[in-house]
Amino acid sequence: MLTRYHRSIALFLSVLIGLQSISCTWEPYMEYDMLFDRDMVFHHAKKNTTYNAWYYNTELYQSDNLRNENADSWVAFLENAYQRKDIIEFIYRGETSFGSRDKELVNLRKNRIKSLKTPSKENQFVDCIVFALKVEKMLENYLPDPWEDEPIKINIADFSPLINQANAQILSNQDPFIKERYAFQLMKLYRYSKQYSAFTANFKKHFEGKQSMIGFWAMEHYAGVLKETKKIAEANYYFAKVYVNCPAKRISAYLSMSLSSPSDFARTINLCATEEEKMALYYIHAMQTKTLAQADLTEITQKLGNHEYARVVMSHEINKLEKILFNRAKSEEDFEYQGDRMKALHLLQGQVPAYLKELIQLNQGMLDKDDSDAFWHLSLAYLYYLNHQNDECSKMLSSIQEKTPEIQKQHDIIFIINYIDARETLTEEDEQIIGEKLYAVNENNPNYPFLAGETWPMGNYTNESFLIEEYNSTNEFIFRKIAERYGTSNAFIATIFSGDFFTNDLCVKSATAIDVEKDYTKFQVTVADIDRILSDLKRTPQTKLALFAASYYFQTPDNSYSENRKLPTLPFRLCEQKLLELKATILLRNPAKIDEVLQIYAALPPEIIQENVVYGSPFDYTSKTPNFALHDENQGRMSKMTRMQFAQNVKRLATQPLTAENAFQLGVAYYNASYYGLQWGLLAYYRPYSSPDGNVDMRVAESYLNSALSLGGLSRDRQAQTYFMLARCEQNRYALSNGEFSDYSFFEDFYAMRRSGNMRNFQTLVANYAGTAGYQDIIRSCKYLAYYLN
Amino acid sequence: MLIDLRSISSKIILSFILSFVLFSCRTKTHPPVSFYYWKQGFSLSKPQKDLLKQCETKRLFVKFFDVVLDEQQQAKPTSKIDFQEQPNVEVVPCVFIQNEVFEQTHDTKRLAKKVAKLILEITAHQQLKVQEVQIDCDWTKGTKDAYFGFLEAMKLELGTKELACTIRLHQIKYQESSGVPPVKKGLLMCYNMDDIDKVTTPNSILSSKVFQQYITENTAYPIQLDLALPIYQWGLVFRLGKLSVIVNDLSTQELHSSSFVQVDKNTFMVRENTTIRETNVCKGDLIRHEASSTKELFNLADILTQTNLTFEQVIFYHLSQEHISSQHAHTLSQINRLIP
Repeated sequence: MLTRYHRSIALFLSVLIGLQSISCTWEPYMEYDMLFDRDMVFHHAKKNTTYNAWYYNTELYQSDNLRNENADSWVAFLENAYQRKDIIEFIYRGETSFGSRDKELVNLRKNRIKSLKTPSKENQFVDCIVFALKVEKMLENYLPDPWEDEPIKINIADFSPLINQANAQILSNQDPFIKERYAFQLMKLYRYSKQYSAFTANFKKHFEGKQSMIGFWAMEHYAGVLKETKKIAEANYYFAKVYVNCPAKRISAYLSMSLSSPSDFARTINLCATEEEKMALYYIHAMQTKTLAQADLTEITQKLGNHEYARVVMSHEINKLEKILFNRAKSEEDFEYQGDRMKALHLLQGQVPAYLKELIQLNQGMLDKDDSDAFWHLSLAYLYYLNHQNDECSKMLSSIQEKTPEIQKQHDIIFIINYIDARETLTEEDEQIIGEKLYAVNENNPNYPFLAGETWPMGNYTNESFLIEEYNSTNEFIFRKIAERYGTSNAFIATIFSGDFFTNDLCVKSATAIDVEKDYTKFQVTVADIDRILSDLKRTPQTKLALFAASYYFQTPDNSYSENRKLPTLPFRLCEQKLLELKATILLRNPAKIDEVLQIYAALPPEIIQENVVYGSPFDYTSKTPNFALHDENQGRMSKMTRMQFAQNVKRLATQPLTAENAFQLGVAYYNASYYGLQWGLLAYYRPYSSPDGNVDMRVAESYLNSALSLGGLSRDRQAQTYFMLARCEQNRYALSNGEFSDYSFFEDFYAMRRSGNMRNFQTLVANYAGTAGYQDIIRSCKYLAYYLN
Repeated sequence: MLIDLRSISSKIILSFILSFVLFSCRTKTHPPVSFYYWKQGFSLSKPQKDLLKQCETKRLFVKFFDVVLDEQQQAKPTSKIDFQEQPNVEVVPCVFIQNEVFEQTHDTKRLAKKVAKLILEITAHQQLKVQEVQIDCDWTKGTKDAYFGFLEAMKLELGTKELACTIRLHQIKYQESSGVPPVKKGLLMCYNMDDIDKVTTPNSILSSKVFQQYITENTAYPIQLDLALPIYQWGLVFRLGKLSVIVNDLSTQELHSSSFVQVDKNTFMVRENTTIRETNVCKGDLIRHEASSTKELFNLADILTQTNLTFEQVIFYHLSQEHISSQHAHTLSQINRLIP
């Protein structure tokens, strides 16, 4: 009775652990749930109009963009006679130095795909690149060393010849494109030689009002000079212009701006000449500072209406709310704190719904003015959901007319979570509706979690930098909500919505527990527990929702680790068969249950029986120490055995009256089918290398071996072998209680075991069987016996 | 009126206790108090200079630079000191090194060489005579070996100059696992004691209650110690459930305006979006004002007298703040005399 009580407690706790493991499995990535997917509503941020400042899309803003933009401008100058890749290779050549102009021209022309109307442009290109690289090389000497106290001394003499050359080229070249290129080099030379007034004069002369790519590159230097001369507001203003107009420089410009000081922000706003410029600053301010951005958002929506800035900021603010509303960490309220401080906590908690309501009002106002963009419908629906206005959320979702596949996905995510939130209990029909949506969101692949890792199908919607920090946790969230609903009332539902999967969960927990008290993660799942899950399975309707979760939970490991993980939908019948197979395996550890085991196997289809096979015969005795790696390598040359065949052999050999030889074979077989034998896969689902775990029980093997000795009739060799097998069992038992022999203190550990009287079987073996062939064979194979003798 | 009377009576009682402690128990002579200067630009205001004069301070512990990891995970100095005036007391250069640096840096000898070289360059450039250098790092069990190796190498680089390092409360409590740094002198930091991130923490700077969880009457330490005590204040801005911004040097007076409403002893709620000390604060934010109260400093001194610890000198953290006044001198000297 007591054992049963402990087991029920263990199962209850294991269910709880299972529930917790929803978050544990992927928790290293996420501290909160993210369900309003910015990546999705912004078309993976792969459009140039997207100012996704929460991360930078590698395709849009990576450093290669700088190279691409530069190369493209040269390709246009060279009348498309060259391809971008060849120009990039020519310009960005790493450490290789430039040869003579003629040699470089020959090299360049090797990649020409058509002739130029003005061939002299090739000369101009090569001259310009050679000059730019000269400038770069000289500037390398002026790279500051942070470990030096003294600032680098600038030697104007290093700069003057290049400045003169640049000026001469600007004068002599007629082509405005080439003039700009030399002027850009001139800007760099003046900036890094700290000749700021010359820099400013030349910037105004060559670039003021220019909208070219190189013009914005020069503007970034201008903003840098303003920052170095402590003109923070002016610097911010020009950085903002670069940010808006030059995608390739967007990251550096954004990171160079400093708008957190209210006075700097106010002064920068005052410099803006147009509303568009002002709105860009409000946008950057909203994204860059930690303030609640409702005020910035109001400014933007009032002036620009449905602008990308407004949509990105709204997503950003929604995400702030998710971080607090869906935080998985324990709240401060869960801890025992000083009572007088709880008021502060509650006041702070009140800020969240108040801000949520403000955003709802703002969003409603947006839609009143312009309801053409599905984004604002989605954001308002989600805000309603967060505020538990389920009906309003539902109405808002149905007001969306045109949906792209991604908008549809976000729509479905909000639909599901709102649907669950709006209902205290879920009917079969409800589960059907939720399940259908869940399948649709996951592109018919019952996967979990949704966007974590590079797993199919959602991996292609994400970019790497995004994944490091956050991912869409829709599936996790839904699984957790469903598991909370059913709690302990349905063991099958609690299991399949645990977020874990069969081979990692119940199969692992079916191991013979070493010491439940010591390790709570090793709670043993018993036959009674499996029966409860099976019985709950039978009363669980096979809805789409339950099918989704069951299909994920009972997936085969091969599917879960494959690159293109496409998981099939598994009907409950298959889930039941897997559970029955597990039950049979647990029962198989007890030979008294062999008839029950065979009955279960007889009802299972061959494919389930064939899922677990071992190689070699467990009934064969060997004195050799098992070599698992070698055994795995040689599998192809060995016979196979299923668990069912093992059970059939056990039944055959155990038939009464039991003979000594059969008892010996059964003892050997149960030893070889334990953690310590090569056929461990017959009675367990995993075998860790680090320390004994899984099926470590020696009692059945010992019982049969002792019977073999007591029944009498074994040859002297067989008796020696039996005592040797018992010695192995004895040593395994000892190591389980006292720890395995350590390589560092082997002899100390070994003699501690001997002193403790745990080598009785070796003692018998040596005293009575030293002259047998079996003994001689053991001596050759077993180092422990050799140590025992010496 | 009642409040005033209570306040006066508590002051009288406190003065009586103080006088009793001062004149009946203490015979140790104490060097004058010292201060930390932790801002990047070194320039002393008149009140700061007056305080140094009133306290007869002979040594100023000045942060020269921080060492952090750059994007390539290489150690680099940052926030280097900018002497806008010449200090007229002895300067002890201090360097703060992020613990993460020792997770990534394996060649600690090379790092020691660089750190020592930069310190010596700054002191030479500023013509400062330096006798001691202090390293501040919140080392952990995992970085202990690298950090202690760095300190050994620093001693060799500094030659005759003495090397000291900071000791945090957890490092003194768990000294077996944290280890004792290989220096002659440590500096016990008695501030930033409680969890700053939690809105329910009454005061994260100083709490004798928390202090007693780390320091007991049996506490001892195998190397000579100095003691660092806090005299700073700040406002912690909590927004949407978590700590969002720290407003340094914020006084309670600045929170007594119509933009804020006091919700408990030291917490204020923001009524409307506004700015405070060049920081945006939003409607609904909570600002917890924290300061090191004189009463708590005396409590701390009292706890220390019951331990086996003794201190060479007391250093107050920090001088580089606006709300500092020579009026503090008397209190600080009193606390100094109470320290064992």
